[in-house]
Amino acid sequence: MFATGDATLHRAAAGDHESFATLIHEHQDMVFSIAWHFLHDRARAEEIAQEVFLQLYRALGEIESPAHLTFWLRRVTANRCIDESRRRWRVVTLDQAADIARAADETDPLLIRRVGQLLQRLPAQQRLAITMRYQEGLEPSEIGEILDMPLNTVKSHLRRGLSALREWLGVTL
Amino acid sequence: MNIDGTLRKTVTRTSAPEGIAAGVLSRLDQTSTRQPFRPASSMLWRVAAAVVLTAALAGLTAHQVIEHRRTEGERARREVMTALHIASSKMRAAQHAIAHD
Repeated sequence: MFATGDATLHRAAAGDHESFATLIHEHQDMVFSIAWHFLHDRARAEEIAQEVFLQLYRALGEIESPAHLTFWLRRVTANRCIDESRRRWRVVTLDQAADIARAADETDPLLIRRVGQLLQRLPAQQRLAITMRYQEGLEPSEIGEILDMPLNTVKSHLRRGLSALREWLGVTL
Repeated sequence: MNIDGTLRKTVTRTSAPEGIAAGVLSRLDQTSTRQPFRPASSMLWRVAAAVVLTAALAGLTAHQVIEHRRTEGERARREVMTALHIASSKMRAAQHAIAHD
């Protein structure tokens, strides 16, 4: 007997497009948001989300459970983002970084937007680790499994990424 | 300022644009209708090619057998004619010898 998620997954794997559309609706915010925070480009993030779900359709037979599906989507989205970062190079100027230092309130919409921009200055692995940590609320060990890297490497990426952001923001913690 | 708190507010899940599912399903439909040769039809083409090749080889072999038989028949006919010619000459020589005796 399948649980609801299992049944949807099972039907989608059998070729039922309606069930596959349900899977997309359930996970599209997660996939799109990872790509969006990584790229800061809505159009490209949407394109990557579509490519991830197309890849999922071809791999549905390998997906064993809803939890495996979530893990698979996070990993494939992360890999797509890394591939994308190799094709292009986004630059946030130092002037923008300096503007951030003036903001002090963590609920300030301007600050939140600027931090989002500053994230783009981080190396790809640090950016992904921070996205998985703060967007998905994952532990470093879980991030290591998704990004296929040792625990200490994940911790190092998180530490360095946060340190860089603090420095750019002029924060002493 | 709390960097953790700021990041939690910055890196949150946002709503995906409408139409991702429709776009994916549309691309799936395009992919499935863009494949004119499926494995089954590819196999049919291979079988048809094998049949044509086999028929051509069989025709060539039959032609060679028939040609060989025709050549053999022609040679046998020439030998029979030569034998008849020799027998006829011998017969005439014998008749000539009898007539002069």
